[in-house]
Amino acid sequence: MPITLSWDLVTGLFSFLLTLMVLSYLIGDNPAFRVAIYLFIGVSAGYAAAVAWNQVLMPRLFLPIAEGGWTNLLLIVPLFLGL
Amino acid sequence: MADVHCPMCGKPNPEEQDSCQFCGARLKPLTGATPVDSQPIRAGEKPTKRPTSEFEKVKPADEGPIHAGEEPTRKNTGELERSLPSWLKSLRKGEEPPQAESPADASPDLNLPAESQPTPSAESSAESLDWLAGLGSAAAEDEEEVPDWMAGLRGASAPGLEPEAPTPAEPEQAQPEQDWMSRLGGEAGQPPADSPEQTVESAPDWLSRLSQEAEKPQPAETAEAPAGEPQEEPAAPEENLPDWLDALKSKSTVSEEPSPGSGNDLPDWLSGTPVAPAETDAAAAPVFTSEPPPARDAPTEVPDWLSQLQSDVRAASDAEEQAEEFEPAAGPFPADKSGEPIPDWLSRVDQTAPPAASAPALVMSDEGESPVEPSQAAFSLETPDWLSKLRPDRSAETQGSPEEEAEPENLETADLPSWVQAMRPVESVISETGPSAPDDAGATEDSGPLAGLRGVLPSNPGLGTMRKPPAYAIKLQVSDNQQRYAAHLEKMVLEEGRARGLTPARLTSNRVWRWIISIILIAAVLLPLVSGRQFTPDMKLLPSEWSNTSTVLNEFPADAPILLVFDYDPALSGELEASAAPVIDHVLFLGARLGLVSTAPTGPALAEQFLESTQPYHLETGLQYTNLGYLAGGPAGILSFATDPVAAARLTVDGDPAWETTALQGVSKLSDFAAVIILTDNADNGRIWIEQTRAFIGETPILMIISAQAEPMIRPYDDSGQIQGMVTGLVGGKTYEQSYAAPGLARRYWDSFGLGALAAEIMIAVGGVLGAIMAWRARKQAGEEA
Repeated sequence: MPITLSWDLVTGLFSFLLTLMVLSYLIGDNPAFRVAIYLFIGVSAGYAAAVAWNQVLMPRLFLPIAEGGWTNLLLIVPLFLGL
Repeated sequence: MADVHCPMCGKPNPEEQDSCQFCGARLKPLTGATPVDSQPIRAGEKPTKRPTSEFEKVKPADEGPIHAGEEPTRKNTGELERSLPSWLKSLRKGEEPPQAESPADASPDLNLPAESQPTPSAESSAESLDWLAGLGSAAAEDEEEVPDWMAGLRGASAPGLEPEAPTPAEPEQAQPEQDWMSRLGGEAGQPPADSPEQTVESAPDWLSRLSQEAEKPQPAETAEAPAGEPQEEPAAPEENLPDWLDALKSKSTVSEEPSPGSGNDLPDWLSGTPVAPAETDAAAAPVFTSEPPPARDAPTEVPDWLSQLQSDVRAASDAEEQAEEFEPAAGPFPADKSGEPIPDWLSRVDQTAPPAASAPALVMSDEGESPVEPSQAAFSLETPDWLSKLRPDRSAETQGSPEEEAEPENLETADLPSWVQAMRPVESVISETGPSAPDDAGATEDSGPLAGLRGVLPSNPGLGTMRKPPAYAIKLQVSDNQQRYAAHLEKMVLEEGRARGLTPARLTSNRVWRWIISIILIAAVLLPLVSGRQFTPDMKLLPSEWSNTSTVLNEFPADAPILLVFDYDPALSGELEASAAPVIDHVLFLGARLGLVSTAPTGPALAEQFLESTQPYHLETGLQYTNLGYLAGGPAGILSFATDPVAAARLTVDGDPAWETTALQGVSKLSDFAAVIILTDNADNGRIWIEQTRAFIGETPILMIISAQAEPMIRPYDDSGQIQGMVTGLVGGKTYEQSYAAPGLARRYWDSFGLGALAAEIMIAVGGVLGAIMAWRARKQAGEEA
């Protein structure tokens, strides 16, 4: 079966490489491990922020406030409390 | 030139030296030449203490003091002969002593003041006996100072004489007599005059001659008394006696009446003498009048004191070495070499009371009855034994006291002979030296053999005692054997402290074996995944909870909405996906619609990835499932969602209205779902969902697909009926897949897991066997070597 270059293959190889870089910590602290964990932390933080914005803040806070209504305006209180 | 011996080191020094050239000690005492020394001791006067360094000078360094009762050692007094005055030598030879010779001339080595020596006089015959003048003068001045023995002599020789009876002696003749007597005291006052030989030689000579004349048949007991040379020499012939002595002898035999002319000038004790001064020599008259008369009347037996004296003199002959040091101070009296019997007056002398004035000169400190002054202690050190026995009774120690002076009638007379009295100045010198001596004379020693002596030590402390400290070798004195033993001991100690080298162990085999084990395990795990073949048989014993889950799912109606909760982390997605895949496949196979929700941020992504990977052929987005996305708030969000799912999750992940999609048609509350399937690896999340949705879920069954690690916490909810079915871990997924689905992910994972576990067990068994064999071989080899 011929191997075709796909997105899944690229992401799969990239995931394999990052896994080796994280496991390289077994031989000690090294730049590959640090690059892998820095990348993982950055991606996770970005992903969490994107999820929080797209899944929480925008649909459940800003859009209701933007729609108006006295009940929706009460959402401003948790907005300031969450700052 | 005569050498002066140092009192400290004993080395000879030239006579001119004031201090020892070896040790620096003073050789000549500073107070030795004071004019006071030359003064005769008179009755009632306190004797003058004189330095006794001469005694220390002649004292041998290695000899201790001779105490009373001890036998003196014999000493050679040969050298004394050189220092004897010529008149004394002449007396020994039976000749008349030269009138002009003085003791000072005969004792040049003696460090005595010139004033203390009798003044030579060639014209006066009285001055030839000047050594007796002091006696007469002292007696003439004070009747109380008359010695007892002389008093006894007076009483013996002329008992009927009146004290005031004048003697026929003229004043011009009596004066020389007193001078003669005073000089006698002066000479006797010289410190070295207490030499035993000199003392023996000085007094008894003339007495012995008189006694010999008086008592011929008396056994010559006294002939044994003199020691050394004086004992060998014959007694002086009678014809050698001076004229005055001859006249005295002739008079003394019959004269019992006092001389009319002598009572005015002479003292009482002399006035009692029967000698007529007009008939005798002016100088010899006092002597003759005092002593010879009793000799005529003396009994033949020897008195006790004299016999004791003779024995002492005999003992003193052995102490010649000690006596030789006193050569300059040879007494003026010739030695008693006669063997004549002791006269009567001498015998009575001994029986009388102890002397009064001259007794302290002989006081010894051996008994310790009374505190002895340092000077006296020093004197006692030099006093020979025979002289110590002449010590008077204790009553004599109180001489000079007012009581005794007030009662002169109690005094005994004629207790001491003249030669013993001559010892008096010695004591008097010692008694007056201490307190009245000038300070510049040097410190007076108060203890030790030098006690009472002044100026014998250097004035500057340490001047004569500074010596180079002795050098001691710092090299350890050890023998060869000891050095060899020490070397062996040191070698043993070093060997014990030395570390022994260890043989390095081979470690190459362990690394190879590790690689071999790793390769075997990796191959066992990958082989089912890569090959796609089934390596493990199906399970025969199925878990009980599996049947409840399949029963609930089989009861669902077709096209029923089902809520899938993806609350697990991506790390455990492999286990949960393998466990949930056959169940979700079963649900989708039944035609159910799915609503996806998650309380974890990564939940929506994991849900999408799970459906795409496991159910690619069953799902179509928007038609069979709706991803409601992330449900924020934890338990509060779950409660909110249970209360009002439409309000809690209004939009899908894509932002579209969730409750308007096909999959969620007809669902507005939680109980509208046909079943709620919770996929979680956390028991707490599973518990929250169960507890928060219990009041809002109604009759909707809750099924749990959990990780194997959360089973212990969730099983009680299954056993209690709060949940209706549960699929646990890879085993649950493999069992569900085995019953209702085609072989899929769970089987492959199970084969890999099973094959890897089998390989590990085989390697453990093989390794154990090999280890046992190697141990057995090693033990066997060790046994053979032993």
